[in-house]
Amino acid sequence: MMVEVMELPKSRINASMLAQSIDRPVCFVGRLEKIHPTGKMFILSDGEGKSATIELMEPLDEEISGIVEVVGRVTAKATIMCSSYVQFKEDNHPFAPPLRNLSFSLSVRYSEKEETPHHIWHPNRDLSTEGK
Amino acid sequence: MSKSEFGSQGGFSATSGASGSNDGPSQGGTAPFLRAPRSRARIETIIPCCVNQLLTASLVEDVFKVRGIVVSQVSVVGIIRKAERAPSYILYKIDDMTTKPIDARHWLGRGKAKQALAPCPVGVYAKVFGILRGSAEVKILEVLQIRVLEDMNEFTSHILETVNAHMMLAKAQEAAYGQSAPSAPSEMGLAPEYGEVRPEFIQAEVLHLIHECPRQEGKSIRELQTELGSLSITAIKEALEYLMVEGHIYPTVDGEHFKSAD
Repeated sequence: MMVEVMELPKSRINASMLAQSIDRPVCFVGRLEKIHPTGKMFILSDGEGKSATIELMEPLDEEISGIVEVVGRVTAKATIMCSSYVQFKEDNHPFAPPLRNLSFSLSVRYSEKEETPHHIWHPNRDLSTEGK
Repeated sequence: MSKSEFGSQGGFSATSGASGSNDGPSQGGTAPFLRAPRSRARIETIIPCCVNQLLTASLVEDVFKVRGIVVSQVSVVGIIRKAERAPSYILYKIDDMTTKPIDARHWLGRGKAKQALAPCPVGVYAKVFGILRGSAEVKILEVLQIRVLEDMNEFTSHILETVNAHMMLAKAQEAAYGQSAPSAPSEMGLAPEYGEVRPEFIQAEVLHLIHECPRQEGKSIRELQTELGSLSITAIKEALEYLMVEGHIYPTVDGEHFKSAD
């Protein structure tokens, strides 16, 4: 299953899109909030303060912290069954979680099978004034 | 094959190793590499792309095109899934989640420094500058430079740059030729061959924009169209229809303005 998800396009989602993404391969970026004592589950919060529960087939074999990007499939319970993850380096530069609109843009764009995604951004859109 | 192909590229150090791949159609049974057409502008831009765009690029008269935009030198940002060392090159697989990973070959040339080059580590994000090569069916990225990201905000910037670059290039093309590129969607909306565009994402975004609008009369369809770029009017109307049926929004002054019910 791990290999299978790797070969497929993954939608980048935030927590509010989990319910609509059941059974789909997804990519989720969030900050580590909590690890379950068994090491087989952890919670990540997204850029909008909502959380996703990440389940693992095997317990974690290392310490994880900070920003984690998870690749996996959304379960019927709207958790993510993780097939792989990477930790974002924050030693020298803190990571600014993308605005909600970015995850939306990415999801729409990259769900297309062909060529260039459509431009979602309006050129005059001022991101600095948009809320999270 | 001279240095002149890379001579005008500025920031990159031209390596004979990289240009070596242009010699002759086949080397050891690998897919034939294309020669970049010499008649093209000598200064080639670097176009930020996602892997999906590269792998679905069409081959038109020996030139790769993404939605009518010529792509040759590109940049991608993705996770290094594999790094295999061979005598004269390192073969990477770069994954940016948009589709399966793309093969990326970094030729090492004969210089001692290059030969001693250690492959980049697997499982980390890297930025890759390269040239798209191969055939319509099998594509490979010929690496000019690969470096591990130290600042993960570069990952976000690359995505934004990709969006922006392709949008600007498409607009420029439209302006130059007076019409959209042949493969661009018409005003009718996203053609079925583009595959599924998740309607729930569109619904969520339309609802969000309506919800955010503080005005009494609500958000107009025209504004939604402007803010949602080239999403078709059909897609937006379908989202509005769904949201109304579900009771999330209601029309206000006319059939063109909506407010959030929440």
